[in-house]
Amino acid sequence: MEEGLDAYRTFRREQGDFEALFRSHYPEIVRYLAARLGSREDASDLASEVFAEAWRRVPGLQWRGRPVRAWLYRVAANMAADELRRRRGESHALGEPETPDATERVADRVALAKALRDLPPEYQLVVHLRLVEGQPFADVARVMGKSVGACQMLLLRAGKLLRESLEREGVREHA
Amino acid sequence: MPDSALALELDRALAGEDAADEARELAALLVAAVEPARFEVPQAEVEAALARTQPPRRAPVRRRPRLAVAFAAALALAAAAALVLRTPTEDVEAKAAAALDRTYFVVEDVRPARPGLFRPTVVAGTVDPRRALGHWTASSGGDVLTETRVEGDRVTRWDAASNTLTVAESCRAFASGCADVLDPVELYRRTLGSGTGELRKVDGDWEITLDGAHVQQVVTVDGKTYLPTRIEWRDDGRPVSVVRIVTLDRHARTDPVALALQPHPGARVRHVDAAGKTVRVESTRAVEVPPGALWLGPTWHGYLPHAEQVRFNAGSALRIRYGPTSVWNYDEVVPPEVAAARAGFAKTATLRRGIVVRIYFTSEGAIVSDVELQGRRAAIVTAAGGKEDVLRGAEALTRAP
Repeated sequence: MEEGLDAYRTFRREQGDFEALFRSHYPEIVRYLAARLGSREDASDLASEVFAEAWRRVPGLQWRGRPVRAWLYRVAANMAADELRRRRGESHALGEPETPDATERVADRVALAKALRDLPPEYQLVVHLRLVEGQPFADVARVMGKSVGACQMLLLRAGKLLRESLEREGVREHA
Repeated sequence: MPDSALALELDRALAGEDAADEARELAALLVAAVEPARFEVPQAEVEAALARTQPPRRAPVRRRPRLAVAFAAALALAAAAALVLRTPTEDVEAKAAAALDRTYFVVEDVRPARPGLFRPTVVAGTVDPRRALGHWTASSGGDVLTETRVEGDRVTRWDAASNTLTVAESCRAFASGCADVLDPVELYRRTLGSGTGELRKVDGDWEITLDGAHVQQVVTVDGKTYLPTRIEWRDDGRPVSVVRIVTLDRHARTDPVALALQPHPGARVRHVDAAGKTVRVESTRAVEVPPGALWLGPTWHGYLPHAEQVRFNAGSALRIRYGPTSVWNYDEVVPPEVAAARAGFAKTATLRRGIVVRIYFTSEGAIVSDVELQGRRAAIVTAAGGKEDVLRGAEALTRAP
């Protein structure tokens, strides 16, 4: 993907300044992992591991037209997948996140959160970048290494999959 | 509706615009799904996590002898350079700065030092250094990629790829930093005199090397005019880009139109503070109209003034309401409704007192006039009335007793 000079310079700057990289992106990686894992605390722990890996490997990254953020999200996604696999493998499988009460609305929210976590990782990432981080599609496309149109289609499919998932669960649409 | 069209509708629905029912339904679902992930991570937590993550810094290795040798060598080189070069660095830099101390129009050809790093770009614009104003566009293959306006520290940049207008209180708010937000000649001009320059005479011209926080500039300066002719940017000593100055014309006067941002109807507006965070209202407090504030007098079209101090996370501004018309007095932060209007269609008018007013027509039907009067910034926003009414308002602006 061909990119502008400022994208290249941002890459080089972040590559050479770990503290700036950390301060810029740690919060969004925590939010991303919280959505993937369903736990804010686990997300903070895993985000620290993502950045420990970044400390070791980012200085050696080669510029391939994508920002360092793209690498951070890839590592975070892989670590989240490992963590979820580990949880599934444990005999005392973790249940859904604790809920304060059992009203229908809370149940809907839990179903919605689960439906979001069950989306394919690529769909979760586009939803996160566009809706949680509020990134313009052009930036989402840079992180994902796809075209803007492809990212827009991913978001649409994510919405449709969420709807189907909730309908299967018998949950009303506006949870 | 085909998915490709529905995807665009969904984007519109997520932006709060009118969209098809299915798109609005999906947007509501997606927004509800991500709600739990929309939390702030406190700065203290970030710092604590950073302290845990970052391995302890290594103690400095014994480098003193090597440093001492290097220092001595540098001193010797500096002494030799001082003997060879009769003109000290400061003099050349001062002359180079003076050469750019008036409004200039510049066209630059920016090319990567190595093929494939980025697309070759043409930057063209006007800078008025005395008033700290600048406006330029960056294009590639005839398409405008970005359009930037600088006013003091404040930067407004339109990004064509996302049709987004970012209003930032400082160039530091941009991920790429000031070096890539500013026009290369303007960056060079601002770096001159920073005490980081090295000088070399090359074939009758000067070569000034300026070290900045994120970029090293190696600038060829014409030996007679002291104007820059070529700028090479280096990262860790490696050339990244070469800027060739195609045109550099200086003017005695500034044309306000040359410094104006083009209208970008339909552009999304992101208003961010100096740290890159979205500007939002924190509190609103009713106040008396402060003496010296720009207002429309004790009444306007039969409405009495109601003043309120609006506190944003990036600063505060004063709003004086007269029914459907508001007068914003601002300096630290551009009120979001004024910032948003700047994406719309604009006209410039000169009033009787020589005051230049920029009038914006927003997609919501409001009219915003932006005025600078007696060193203060004000904007009149009205949802009622027409352009003439706003112009009359701008002419009526006066300081409150």
